[in-house]
Amino acid sequence: MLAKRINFGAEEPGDPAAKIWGRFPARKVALVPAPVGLQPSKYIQGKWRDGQFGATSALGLQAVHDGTELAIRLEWECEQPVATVIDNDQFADAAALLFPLSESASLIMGAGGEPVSIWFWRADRPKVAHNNVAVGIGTSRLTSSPLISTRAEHTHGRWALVFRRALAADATAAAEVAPFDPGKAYRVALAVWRGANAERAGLKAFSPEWVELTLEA
Amino acid sequence: MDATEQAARIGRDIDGQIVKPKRQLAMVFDLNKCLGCHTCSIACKTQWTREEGMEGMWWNVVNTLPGEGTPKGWEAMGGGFEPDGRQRPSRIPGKEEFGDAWQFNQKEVLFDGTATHLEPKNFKGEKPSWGPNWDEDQGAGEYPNSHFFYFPRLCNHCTHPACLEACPRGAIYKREQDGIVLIDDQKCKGYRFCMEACPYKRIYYNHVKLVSQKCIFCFPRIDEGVAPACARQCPGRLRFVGYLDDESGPIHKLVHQWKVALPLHEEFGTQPNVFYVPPLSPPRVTATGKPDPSKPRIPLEYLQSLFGPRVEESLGILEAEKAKKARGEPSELMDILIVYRWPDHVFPDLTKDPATL
Repeated sequence: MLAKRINFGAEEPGDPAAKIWGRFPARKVALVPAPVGLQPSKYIQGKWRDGQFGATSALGLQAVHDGTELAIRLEWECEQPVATVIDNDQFADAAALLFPLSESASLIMGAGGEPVSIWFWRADRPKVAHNNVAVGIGTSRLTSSPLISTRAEHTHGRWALVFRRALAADATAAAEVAPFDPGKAYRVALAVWRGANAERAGLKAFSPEWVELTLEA
Repeated sequence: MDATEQAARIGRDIDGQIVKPKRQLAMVFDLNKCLGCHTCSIACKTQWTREEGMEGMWWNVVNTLPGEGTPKGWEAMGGGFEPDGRQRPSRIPGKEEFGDAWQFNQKEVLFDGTATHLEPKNFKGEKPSWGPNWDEDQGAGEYPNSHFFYFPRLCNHCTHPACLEACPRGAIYKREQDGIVLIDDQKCKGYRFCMEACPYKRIYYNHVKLVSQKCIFCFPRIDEGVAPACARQCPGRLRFVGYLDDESGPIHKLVHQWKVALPLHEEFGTQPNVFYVPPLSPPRVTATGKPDPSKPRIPLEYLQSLFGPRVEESLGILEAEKAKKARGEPSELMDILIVYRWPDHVFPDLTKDPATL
């Protein structure tokens, strides 16, 4: 899909309800439950073997940029939103974007020597996504940069969420942060967690195929 | 396999074999000496769980049994392993079940004069329905056969920890040198599968740091030759600490030689390393008011439900050795349990005074 190049000035793309998002059709991305067999503990495999998780079947993906900043909007159905956690058995809704940091990185959390960068948003800390680097299942590690700001809204049984990040990445952080250049094509994978179903870690719905994302020159 | 990979295997079931540490530290509690003073819990609280997010944590807790315990009804929550090695599904105990740190309306009562009585509120702002020791001293049975005993609990630092096996991030590990089970809070992402899998429900969630936390067996003290705070502060001198393989130490003697110290709920399958000398009790009193020496006040079936079928034998050994001592004959077992010399006889390898460090 194409991330159109627009002038952010008056458009406020950081607002998931901004008019700009109505101007471009959303790409529907199919999601499937993460395989039980890939869950990295026998406890999780045993308890969730019936696969009652990852029921979010699709999300809408949109993206725009202005030459210096990228904004990516996700929208998905969530009838029972969880945005605050006060008890031990509560988990917040979450969503993530995964970008490969090397040509052959696996979209299933990367692999040794083939890292991926993950922008992870959680509804109980709504204004910022954390950048994580992973080199395999169970290895994600928080990095100190870059800043990924987020804004989310839950209306009519749906989450709408916008991630914003500077296109350029600090050269010293190349091992952890995906850089973006206008005119080039990238790949992204997506995941959604339903907090009301105690989904966390590998208990999620994810896109089993890369989605190509081209930044308009 | 490098040293890090080797260390990560300790405590795991690898091809049907549990990988064991070089040595295993363990505790034995003599329940006949526990007076329910909670000095152990307070020693732990002041040492480790005073920070924000830890208010409701009692890594060590002393419950009254028979009772619901902490968290409420934990014995029926599941977790641990089936006999065939599969992990038993369970759930995460809630804050109210653990017993939250309540807030009180001190300002309204003491300063504003808008209320006359202090009233607790839980984390939901509601009147609490449970606390960390809600059924203290309640026990069971009807007078004159009412009974209870005090029961200290903490992380069992299991040989096959269900928490360690459940964590999807490998954030929980068992120390090679002494088998202490620790959660690496740099690796923990607060997913709480450990809280589900632990059948003893001795893991808490820190809602400020967003990580799971539990008893650390006072490992920084162990590393300096100092006993864990709960054990050193115990006025009853009932918390023995030492290495299971030290044949001259009280742990080995009580667990393996005299076989009087038993694990709690061995059927949970995690091979706990905290053991209990079961409580003896006076005889039941019959309807006509006569003591019946054939029946202990604390029903044997109840103790079997906690400590398994070996509890009868353990109680028999304790009775026999007690009788020997009463007749003026020597009894090594009674001498161990009496703890004539503190601290040498209760945690012989960990006698250093922390004030001297």
